[in-house]
Amino acid sequence: MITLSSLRKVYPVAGGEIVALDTVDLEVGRGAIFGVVGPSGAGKSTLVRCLAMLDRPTSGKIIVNDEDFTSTSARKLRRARHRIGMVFQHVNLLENRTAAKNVSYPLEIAGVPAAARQKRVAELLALVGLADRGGSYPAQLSGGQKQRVGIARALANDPDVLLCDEPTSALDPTTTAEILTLLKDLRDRLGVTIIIITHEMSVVKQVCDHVAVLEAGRIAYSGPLLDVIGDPDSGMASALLPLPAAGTPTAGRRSITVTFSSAKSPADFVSTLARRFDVDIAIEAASVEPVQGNSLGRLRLGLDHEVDPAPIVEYLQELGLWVEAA
Amino acid sequence: MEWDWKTIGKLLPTATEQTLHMVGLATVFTVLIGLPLGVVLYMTSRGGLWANRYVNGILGFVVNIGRSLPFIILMIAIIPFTRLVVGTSLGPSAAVVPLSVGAIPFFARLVETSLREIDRGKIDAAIVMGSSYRQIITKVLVRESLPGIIAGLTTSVIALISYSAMAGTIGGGGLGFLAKSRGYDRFQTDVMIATVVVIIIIVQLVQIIGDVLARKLNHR
Repeated sequence: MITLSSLRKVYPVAGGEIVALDTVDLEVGRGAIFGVVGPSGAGKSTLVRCLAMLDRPTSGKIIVNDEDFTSTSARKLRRARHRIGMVFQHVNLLENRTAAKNVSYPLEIAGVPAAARQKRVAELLALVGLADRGGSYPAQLSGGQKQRVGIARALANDPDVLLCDEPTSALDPTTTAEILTLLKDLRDRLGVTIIIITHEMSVVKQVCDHVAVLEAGRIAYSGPLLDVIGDPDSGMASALLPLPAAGTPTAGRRSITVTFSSAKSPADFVSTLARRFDVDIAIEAASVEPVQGNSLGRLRLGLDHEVDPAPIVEYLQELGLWVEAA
Repeated sequence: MEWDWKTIGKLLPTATEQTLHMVGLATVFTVLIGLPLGVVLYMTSRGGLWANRYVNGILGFVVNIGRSLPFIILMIAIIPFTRLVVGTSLGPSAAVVPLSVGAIPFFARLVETSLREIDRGKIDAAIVMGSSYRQIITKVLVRESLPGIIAGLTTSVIALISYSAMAGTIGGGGLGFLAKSRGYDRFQTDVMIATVVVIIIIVQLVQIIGDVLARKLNHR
């Protein structure tokens, strides 16, 4: 669906240059909800601007549906843009147009006749749950409603890809959850591929099935969410399921931090472990949340100092758990 | 003070009509030339879609010259140009030339300022949706800042009314000419007061219409 190969973006500055993207390679499959996360300054904004073709990459290719965006002419690019819908953090609606007229804008510029436009706008507003707010101006809508209008507008030309730049970062948690549910629903119903660039781990947890971690202009990790979580080096497990800091360590105990997914491991591994090795296990900290229909959990287990952890770690790994630290 | 209603009744309507003629035509030219000029100033400025240091620098310089000259000097300085365009430098039609030349740079800067208020994100959104430059200018830039542009135009028209009084004194006719030739030169204070009242009414009306229009178009 989307392939980025050796994407590089360099900004010239006084007395040198800043490498914002350093050889980014990425593959996003059709129908995926692909999260791109990373700390600020990692290159997320640059990546979005390159994907949206607001900035030309210095080198490398962006291929969407077998079409190379980086080498098309300006005229072709304008047409190719209809294949990508974009959702912005600050929505960027035209304030002097009603919600319906905002959704109608991309259809107008694509030359869709008025009657067809009107019909499509009504469909789109209904799709995002705003059928009765078409006549409202953006100033009369709440933050969540504005973002719904933004999403309807992005879907107007039936794009293959919905590119979302921090779509919920300006919204409260309840509205965030509603918008994310809407995005997931749209992917299921329309089959549109969704790329979400965000710094919010909760977004990844709630909707993404694939994730890429951007660090200093490079993709440090990428793949199906559960695989990336399973890679202890990615730090994804601790970012998604943070555990409270360890208190004063109890004398004579050692800690093991494990991550499990109900898809891969039996849920009762703690008691099995205790029985099998005849050990006492303390649960020092735990976080369990539903992720992609499974329950995903992270536990810090406390074992007596006398116990040899090696066979226990081995056994847990056999059960399909990811063991971080022994 | 004696009120010579007969003289006032004879002179005031013609003078008012001449002033409206001058200001009206000059407003048309101010919009036709000042609006595109303001858009080009904005588009060629740093970070703009047509960013061009040279074009922007030259246009900005010319606009600044137009704005730095006091109107009374500008009016006299461009008399040869006025003759070239209209064939004469006397009368309301001839006054339209210096009036437009004086108001165009003023309005263009106000347009540019209004356009700067637009969030860059809206322009990005328009580009991503595949808009052409023409569509961005007409459907996004000008439409979104229309309330500000109307407010700027109101200010410009009021400046034009004030300029037109000056143009009147050097042969343009209109209310300015009437106030000077009768009120000042012949000490007809009643005529002076009458012209002042009419000018105040015109300015108030322009301001009210401008405000109502700007409010109606603004949905922010």
